[in-house]
Amino acid sequence: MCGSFIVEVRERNTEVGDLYFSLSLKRNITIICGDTATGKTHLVDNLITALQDDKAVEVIVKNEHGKRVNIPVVTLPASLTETDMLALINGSTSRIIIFDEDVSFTTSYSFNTLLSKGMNNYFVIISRDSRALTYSCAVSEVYKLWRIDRSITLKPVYWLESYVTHREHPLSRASITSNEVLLVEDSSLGYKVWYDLLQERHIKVDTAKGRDRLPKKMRAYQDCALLVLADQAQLGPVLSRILNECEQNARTILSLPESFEWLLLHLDLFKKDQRVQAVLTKPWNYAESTKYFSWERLFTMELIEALKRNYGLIYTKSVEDIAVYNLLMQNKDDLLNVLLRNSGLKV
Amino acid sequence: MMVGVCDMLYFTFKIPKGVELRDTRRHLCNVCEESWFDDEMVKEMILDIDKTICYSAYNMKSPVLGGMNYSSLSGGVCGLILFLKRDGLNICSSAFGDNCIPWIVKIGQMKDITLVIKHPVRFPDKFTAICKDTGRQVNSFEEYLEVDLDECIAREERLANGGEPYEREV
Repeated sequence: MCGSFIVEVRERNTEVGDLYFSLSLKRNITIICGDTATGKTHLVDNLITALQDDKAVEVIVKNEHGKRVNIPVVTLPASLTETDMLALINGSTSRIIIFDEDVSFTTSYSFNTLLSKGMNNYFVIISRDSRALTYSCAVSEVYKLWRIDRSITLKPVYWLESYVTHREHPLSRASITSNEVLLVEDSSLGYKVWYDLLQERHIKVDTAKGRDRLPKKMRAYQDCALLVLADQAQLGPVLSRILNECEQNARTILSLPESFEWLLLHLDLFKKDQRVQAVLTKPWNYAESTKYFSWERLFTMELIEALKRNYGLIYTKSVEDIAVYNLLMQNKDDLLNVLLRNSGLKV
Repeated sequence: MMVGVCDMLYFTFKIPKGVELRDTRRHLCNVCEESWFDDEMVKEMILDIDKTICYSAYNMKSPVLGGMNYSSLSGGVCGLILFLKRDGLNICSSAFGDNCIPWIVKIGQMKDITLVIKHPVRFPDKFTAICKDTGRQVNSFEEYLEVDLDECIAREERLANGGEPYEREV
């Protein structure tokens, strides 16, 4: 299953007026969290009512062109056993499945394993539980419900552009102060590239060796001007902790490109590659959920194919990819520009 | 573990020995008494979080849902009422949005309650609580973050070693 969809739920209420939910989904995993009493459980209650064929609630799904499509929207009750849940999810094709926060199944190892193998469903998971987010979940797909009058829509929880654009980006300056540090989540080729690239500018580059270690590492650099570079494609679960650290150090700038591979696909090296440009413009139309558990995997695969197609190079993400490394180093000005242009979160 | 401290908010990262309550709405519907909804603090919490005027258990007025009863209250408010009216419950933090946290801190000043941390909770800048797992008392959000970050790293190591993300209380 791939594509961008809008789920519209209309609840008829003669007393206070009809209530409309509109959920715009473009990835296989969407998280809804946020404050209490914003309508999360009420949305699920409505879907249950609609499944009972009650005329009080109408549910329709539209594609990105506004045309109605026949994709069922279902919710699975917390009372089902894990075995039943797995059977229902495995047996289904092309459905939008919404889990309420009382469903502990979404935090289970079995569910996470199934997801990582690729499923032919889009999942909307209502949960604040970090365990529900142990799998990759994009920062841009963490939402809260937002009500204006009688309409409720999804609003991104994280508006990170304010962290990025309102501050001077150290990489855009000619002169660098001695206590500026670039902290990257990556410990493979991405780290090596940024390390070698920024050494010339006398910026210290360090790696957190994984997303979960980022907050702790940020604290170690509390006295420095810190630029944090991490993949937004999978940072959703730890972002609130990272933002807490940003509050503790006002000289922190977050740069959250989709992934390292996504940045590389923006290089002039691939400007004439039509396939790459098409994928970058509308990734949701290419991110087949049975094949790609996350967009990060899609962009990695696209980079592998593009490097092979255009330059005959093999890319494995490893620091051993010397030929790819050399190609990037030959284009380091472009690489730095790409990072500067794409460092903000696009929402 | 620190003992003998009265009227305190406790938090734990471990899976408690007893019931770990996630579905606060269903639990409230099973155990609540009508008289709970005559309590002024309960009415105040319902108004603050759900923007709903509570006249009684069966007579409430919501700007979104219209006339309703206690079974349509939000999960967060149900959790707050349970914390206030019942003893010895371990309620998951994920049942509460950030807008409920000041109320949890307030109830923690009135009686002993235990919050099972399942997500990064945004406590107020100044508050007092005790981490049940270590006995450490925290007096600010900054101090709480130190405990939370240590747990975050420990959890990652447990997962890397093939273990469960959360330890169990013994």
